[in-house]
Formats: sequence, structure tokens, C-alpha cells
Amino acid sequence: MEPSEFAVQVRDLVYRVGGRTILDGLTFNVGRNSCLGVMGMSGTGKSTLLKNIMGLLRPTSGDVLINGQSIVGLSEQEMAPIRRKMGMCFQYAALFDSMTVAENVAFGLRRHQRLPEDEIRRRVSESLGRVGMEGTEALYPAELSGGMRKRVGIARALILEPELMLYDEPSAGLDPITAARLDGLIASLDRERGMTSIIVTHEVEELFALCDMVMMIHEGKIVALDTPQALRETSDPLVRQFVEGRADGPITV
Amino acid sequence: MIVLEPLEIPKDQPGNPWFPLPRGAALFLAYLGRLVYLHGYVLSLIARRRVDLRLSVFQMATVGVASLPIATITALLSGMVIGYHFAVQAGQLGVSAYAGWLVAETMSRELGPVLVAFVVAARAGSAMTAELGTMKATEQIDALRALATDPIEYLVVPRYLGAVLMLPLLTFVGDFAGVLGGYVMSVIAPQINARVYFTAIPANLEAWTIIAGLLKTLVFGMVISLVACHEGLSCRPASEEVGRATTRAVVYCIMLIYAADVALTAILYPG
Ligand SMILES: Nc1ncnc2c1ncn2[C@@H]1O[C@H](COP(=O)(O)OP(=O)(O)OP(=O)(O)O)[C@@H](O)[C@H]1O
Ligand SMILES: [Mg+2]
Repeated sequence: MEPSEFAVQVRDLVYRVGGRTILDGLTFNVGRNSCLGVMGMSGTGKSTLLKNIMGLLRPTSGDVLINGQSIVGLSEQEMAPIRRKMGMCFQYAALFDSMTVAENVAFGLRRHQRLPEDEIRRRVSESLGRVGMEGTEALYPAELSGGMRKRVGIARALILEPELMLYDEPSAGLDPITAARLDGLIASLDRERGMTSIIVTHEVEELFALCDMVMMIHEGKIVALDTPQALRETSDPLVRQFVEGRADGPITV
Repeated sequence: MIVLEPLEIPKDQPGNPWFPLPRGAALFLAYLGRLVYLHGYVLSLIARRRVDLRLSVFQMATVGVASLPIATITALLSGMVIGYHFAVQAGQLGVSAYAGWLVAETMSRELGPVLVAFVVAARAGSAMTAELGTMKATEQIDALRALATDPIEYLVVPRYLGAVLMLPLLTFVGDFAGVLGGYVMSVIAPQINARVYFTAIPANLEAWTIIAGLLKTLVFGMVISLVACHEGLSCRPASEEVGRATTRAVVYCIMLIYAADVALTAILYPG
């Protein structure tokens, strides 16, 4: 098959659950080595979108293609080689709570690569170092704060050097210094390793600094999909209200 | 993945394939269908050698260590009780010398396999459901999948092997404990002749009786691990639901163990 120019293609994605339509016909592409930012009101379906792209949820209708290959309806075993090139940072970290930080981070390496134990240890501490979590190898997730867990989750996903990373609010709950450092890491991974990323975040400035394209979802639909520059200057009242963070406007909570 | 979804049948409506059936019957059939599907999935993984030996050995140890003390004590006590009853009745029939043999026969045919299976369901099965249900509720199952790891391969196969391989061993120990319990009673209770308690056993108890009992437990082990893992994986993401799933797992195990027992007894002990 011709390798696709897009890392991710989403076509008319509809996701319905419990009689509610969460995602209502999303269509967009994410180019290779680019960064898409996703923003939208809380509860609008951003995490649900990432889980559909990761194949963790099955779309009600529509299609999701990773590197040009449709993943809808693939079995877990068929999905595994595709997911090995993908990484996901969960909104609530989703660390394995019966394993130490080191075991969490080493999980993908141990399962998918045969490496000597000291090489694993080296890569684990390197990966933890990148997110500013060095020296926490022996701790259990219960002994970490929310922001620390989040960063271990990112280290766990990054250790396999995925081509495509999905970040679900990577800097939520982090102090501004750590958040800025994390943004630097994401930017450098995108630049130096040619990683493609999709970032869900409420931090509008982070979005505009990191992303090539920004998408806004509202009530299950894409209301804006453009470059950060264009969104900054848009006259769309919906986007303006969100970007400026005002309580009054077309969106009422 | 179907086994990750809570089991529900849409409200009776035309167009739903379960429509002609009463809701309870439809749910029951759908449930059995899922267990068969999960079993097929597990067996196909085992056939393709997709078995993590380290995890499987760990599960065997977990099931064994968790259940051995209670299984032994339960079997010992029930051996004492039936030993007492048999002694009284054998005495009335004038065959006191056979009391020990009767205990051995009952333990290896029925009480050993079933009681040990109940203990393992309550002890190890419930723990499996609670663990997997919590992992489900905290998105750890999704995290496994995102790390290109099939949760059936990583979580269910080791638990299946752990339960299926440990149950015969535990039952064998339980059979012995039961016979020993009967003996303890025969020393205490005046009706039994303690000296002849064991003598009638070797002459009358056939090897097949014991083996058939252990074969039954292989199936009980399958029931326990598959039901427990299914309840955990299909659990809704809430702590209350984890509790409910755990209770359900134990109740379903007990019912399905007895249902399997009826069928297996007829097959394994013909006449
Ligand atoms: N099992 C379910 N049944 C019914 N509704 C659900 C279910 N799962 C999710 N939802 C709904 O889907 C919507 C989207 O949830 P999602 O977690 O994707 O939101 P989000 O955009 O990530 O929000 P946040 O920014 O707060 O993380 C929510 O409104 C939620 O109520
Ligand atoms: Mg979310």
C-alpha cells in the first residue's frame, strides 16, 4: 500500500453512547509530522475522540485511518502492530497501580522488545528524566501526586518512541514551570523525531504555541479547524469566546 | 471488544434478534454465548503459545496460596461431619467397617471437587473480578490496550491457567483432608471403629473414582476463571459496580459449577 501522507484520517466519525450522540460526524486529517490541537468545552467529547483514534472505542459509524489503514473493526491482535507505533497519555494517567513507576514505564519495552535488563533500566531513567521525574523509579502510583502520575504516563508512552502521540490534557494540574518544560519536550519531540501529535488541552496559549493546526469541537461537531494564527484573528464569536475565556457569549453553561 | 462491554439486551423491540425470547432467557443465553466466546479466545491464544509463563506461574501461586488453607479446613470439617453421619448409619446397617470407605468415596466423587471449587470461587475468583473490575474502572485496561497488549492475553490467560491447573491439586489435597477428618471423628465418636477406618478404603476405592473427580475440577477451574474475568472486564466503571460484579461472579460461579457438576457426573460416572 502507498504510505499515506496523513498520519491520521478521520472520516465522518459518529460516536453514540447511551442514546446520546457524543461525536456527530467529524472529518479531519492530521498530516505526518504535524501537531493538531483540540479544544472544546468540558464534556464535549475530546477524550472520546482520542479513544476512537486509538481504537479503544468503536465508532458508531464513520472511519478512522492510521497511516492510511482503517482500524475500525480490527481485532486486538490485528491492532497491536499499529498501536506499537502510537502512544497515548490518558487524562487521568491510567498507571498500573500494582506496579512501580519503573515497571510502568518499562511495560512497553518488556512486552515488545527483548532488551537486557540494564538497557531497560537505562531507558527507563532516561524517559523519566525527560519528564522531570528522575529518581522516582521505586515509588508506586499511589505515592505520586496527580501531576507526577500524568508525567509518568507520558514517560510510559514515550519510551517506545511512537510515531504518533495522543496527549489528553498533558499539562492539566501541573505548575506553570513544569507545564512549560513539558511543552518544550513535546515541541522538541515533534521537531527532532518527526513525531505526529494530537494534543487535547484547555490551555489556549499552549495550543497556539505548539500546534500547526487547531480544531475546536462544540456539541459533537467541528466548529473551527485552522492555523493558530487564523484562529487568533477569527471573528467567529464561538471561537473568540473560548479563546478569550469569557463567560458571556454564544456558549452558555 | 465485546467482553469489555457490560452485558445488556436492548429493551424488547422488533428488529432485536433476541426479541421473541423472554428477557431473562435472552440474557442467560447471551451470557453463556460470551463465556463460550471468551473460552474460545483463550484457547486460541494458548494454542498459539501466546502464554506469559511468568504471569501464569504467579497466578497458580496466587490461587494456590489464597485457597489452600481454607480449602483444606473446609474439606476436613465436612469430612468430619459426613464421617459422623456415615458411622451412625453404617452402624445401624451393620457395616461399620465400611464407614471410612464411604467417606473416601463421597469426598473424591463429589464433596472434594465441589467444595474446593466453591472455596476457590469465593477466594480467588472474587479477587480476580475485583482486580480486573478496578483496572477497568480506572482505565488501566485501556492503558494495556494502548500499549499494544491484549488484555485477554495478558490478564485472562494466566488466570485461566492458574485456576485450571491448581484446582485438581487443591482438590486432591481436599480429598485427603476429608478422609482424615472422618478418621478424627471416628477416634472421637464411639460409634466408629477407628481401627478399621482405613482398611476398607484401598480394597474398594477405585482410582477412576478419584481421577474422574479431579477431571471435573478442570471444568470448574475454567468456569471460575472465565466467569470471574468476564465479570471484571465487563464491569461498569464505578466502585459500586466493582462490588456488584464481584458478588455476581461468586454467585454465577456457584450456580454454573453445580450445573456443570450435574452434567459431568452423569458423563464421568456412568452407572
Ligand atoms: N458511557 C457513557 N454513557 C453516556 N455518556 C457518556 C459515556 N461516556 C462518556 N459520556 C459522555 O460523553 C461526553 C464526552 O466525554 P469526554 O470524556 O470525551 O469529554 P471531554 O471533552 O474529554 O471533557 P473534559 O474536557 O472534561 O475531559 C460527556 O458529556 C459524557 O457525559
Ligand atoms: Mg477529557
